[in-house]
Amino acid sequence: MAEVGYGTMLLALIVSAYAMVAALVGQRRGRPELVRSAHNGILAVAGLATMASAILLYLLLVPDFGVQYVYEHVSSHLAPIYRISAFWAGQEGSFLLWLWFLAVISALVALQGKAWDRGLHSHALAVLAFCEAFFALVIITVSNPFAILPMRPADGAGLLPLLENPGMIFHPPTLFLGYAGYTVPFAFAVAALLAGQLDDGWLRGIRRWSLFAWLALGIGILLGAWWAYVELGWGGYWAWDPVENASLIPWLVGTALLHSAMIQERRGMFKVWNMVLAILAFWLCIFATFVTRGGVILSDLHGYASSALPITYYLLIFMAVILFGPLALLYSRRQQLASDNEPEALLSRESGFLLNNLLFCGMALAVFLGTIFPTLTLIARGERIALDASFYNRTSGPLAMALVLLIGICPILAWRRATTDKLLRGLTYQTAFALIVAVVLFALGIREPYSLLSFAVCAFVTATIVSEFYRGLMARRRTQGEGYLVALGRLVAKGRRRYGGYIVHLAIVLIAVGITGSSFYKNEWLVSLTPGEETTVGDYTLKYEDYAIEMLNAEPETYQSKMRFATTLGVYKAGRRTAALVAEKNNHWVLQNPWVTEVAIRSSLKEDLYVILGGLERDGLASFQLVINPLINWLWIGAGLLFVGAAVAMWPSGRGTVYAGRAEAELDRALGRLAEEEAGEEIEKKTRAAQRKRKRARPVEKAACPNCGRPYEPGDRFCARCGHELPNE
Amino acid sequence: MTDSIPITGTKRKGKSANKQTKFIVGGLIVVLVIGYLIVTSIQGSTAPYLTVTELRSKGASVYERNVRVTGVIQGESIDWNAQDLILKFEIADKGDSLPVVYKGLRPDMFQDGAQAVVEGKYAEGGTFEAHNLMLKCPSKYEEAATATAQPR
Repeated sequence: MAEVGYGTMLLALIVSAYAMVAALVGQRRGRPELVRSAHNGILAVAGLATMASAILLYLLLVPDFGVQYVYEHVSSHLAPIYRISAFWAGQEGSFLLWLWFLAVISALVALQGKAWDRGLHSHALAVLAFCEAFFALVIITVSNPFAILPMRPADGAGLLPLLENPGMIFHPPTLFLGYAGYTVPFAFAVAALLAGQLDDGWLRGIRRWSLFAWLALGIGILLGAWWAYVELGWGGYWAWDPVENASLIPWLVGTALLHSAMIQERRGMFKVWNMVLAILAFWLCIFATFVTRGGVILSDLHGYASSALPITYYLLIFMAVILFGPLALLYSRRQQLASDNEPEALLSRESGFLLNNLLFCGMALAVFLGTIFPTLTLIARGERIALDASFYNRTSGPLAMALVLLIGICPILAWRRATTDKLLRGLTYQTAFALIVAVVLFALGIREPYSLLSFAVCAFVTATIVSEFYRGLMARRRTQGEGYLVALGRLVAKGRRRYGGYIVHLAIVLIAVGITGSSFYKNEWLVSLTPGEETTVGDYTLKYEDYAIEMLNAEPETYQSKMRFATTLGVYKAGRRTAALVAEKNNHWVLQNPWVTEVAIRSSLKEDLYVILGGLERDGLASFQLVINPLINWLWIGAGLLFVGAAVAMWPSGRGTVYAGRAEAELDRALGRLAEEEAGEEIEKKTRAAQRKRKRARPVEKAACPNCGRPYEPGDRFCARCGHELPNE
Repeated sequence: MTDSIPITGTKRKGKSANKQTKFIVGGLIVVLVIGYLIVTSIQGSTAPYLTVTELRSKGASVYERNVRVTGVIQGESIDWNAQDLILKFEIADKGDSLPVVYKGLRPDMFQDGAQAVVEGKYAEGGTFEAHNLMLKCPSKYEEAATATAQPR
């Protein structure tokens, strides 16, 4: 069975390489049957990848310990759900998962052919096939999940206990879905460069793909943070570890792309920016895997490998090709990417978005530099000098705060030229609200200046988002005369992109609130208790009630075999018992590092009470680390809202971005953000563009040579390929 | 309709040049601020990463500085006071060893032979006062290779 799996990957390599060549040659030499066969090739690769994945899944579920990957990650004690998640527990499975996602996404893009210009589409298929070929090559050479052991063991080693957690079921696949998703903007950006189609076509078409990839990556990162919080047991959710950073950087660039694209759509500006952002976002996803698996950039927390492996070289070469190739192409085509419009005023929505790009890229750059810093110093000075968390906090903190502030200000800015008094008038209530919040917090005892500033900014931005909904609602009532609820519903339904975006912004504010509270006001205590003793932390009284030491899953010995050291603590608030927390520290003696902590958390909207068992002696003497994390659950609530907002923004409205753009222009006019005549101009332009698009969707069939089938222009007398005389009229 | 009056023509040209400079200057300011932020943060956040041998050889020059030292935990030297939560141990590297004092919980991966990174100050008496103790989580692949699960 495993051999069949390997065979499908070998086939996938051949077919995807063929598809790449066929799509390129077919498109450039005018041979549509080659393009057609490339299209089928992409579909075939999706089928092959699905087969390979199904085979690996089968091997994991059986489980077939004769296969090395299964032996390394599954044991007979392991619950079935974790046998499934073992698929992405290791490098080989992860690459297969990434390839499968990429293959399915590419097949979907292939099937979307009718929505795209043919030249753009075929070139994009070629790029997607190229990426698929790379992954297939890596899988069959240095990262093979189907390798077979010389002797079949009776049981497997099992899953590392740290990975036996719901977070680990969803975090890696979501992340890889995001990485695979960013291949699409990259493919179409490069396709636009190759095909010379440098108008907005590529950008408009990838809007939903960009949003999808952005959402997957964002949720993947948040899931990782959540997993770290509940499973790693150090009381935090983000350590600025290189592997964590590596996933954040493409997300930052991707967010910039999402916003910057809007400016190209509305005003024909930022064309070079958008190309570069699309190329970089994908490159950074590959860089992320280079950090995680390449063994060059070392992580203090995740020590996957510590020297250059064969895969390091594959990744380095691929990264060089996908970066320098497109950038060189971009440079050669830069004349065709000149802006349609020039920015007119320093205070305008366009400059707000420009600032947005600069801030996001600045933050991405800071995190990137911090991540490669030890490698740089190793090369320059021969020793690794690491940057600790304070570097990241000092750079990302202010930049993130500026970005959150921009969320509040930018939507109020008028296009082309905003006047300061109009801006200030539009923000008076919100600023007043922020000041009131700041004063109230100060009175309640919040004195740390940065946190006060952060909360004030969050209050300000929340008020601006609410007022945006309110104004849009009122504008609708004025022009359409609908009831409140209907108007709100229609407002969101007709402006899914905008209002979905506002929901996402609100989610970001909630996340910012959670981060501020838990960063500035976290409190920790170390205590040592004997059974029956009590201790007080914050509003809680904890009573050490019971403890247990027992052996579990002893036979046969796998990673799941453990000596369980558990303590039960009763949590009392204002005299009443509100919860019982069980904090454990288990010894999985088979592992090289046997101790695994299972923390206990009591959550509320206000804060988390987080209990880490440090050690438990045979007589019951236990040491604890107690942490209170204020406002942390707003982070996870924000994550959920992020998903909702993005889903709204992505929801197909059946009419495409051109109509959406027109609806937005009409709304902006009603809100007074776009002058009458300019709005009229834009609406005219959008209506004409929509009509053109409708016409283009109906393909005009070209006549074909009766001998060889090559399409020809009316007026040709002899076929350009075979020389046959062509019928005319 | 051509405008042949040179004054207006020059004014128009000057205006658009001015607009461009405004943006370039504005953009440059933002870039410089971000750059300044990055550079100053680097200066405040580096902790030299030394081995025990290197620390010993640097001696007095690192006395008041926040440094990180890496070494292998020596099992026989581990002294864990569960009541007061004080962990005393030695890390070693190529024959040189360094006594460390750490106030806190004994980390999960703390055991003889583990690679540790301690962050703190090297006190004059020769003891290292650590405020941060990090242990390297070993490679999943190294682990699988040395796993002690016995095939029956």
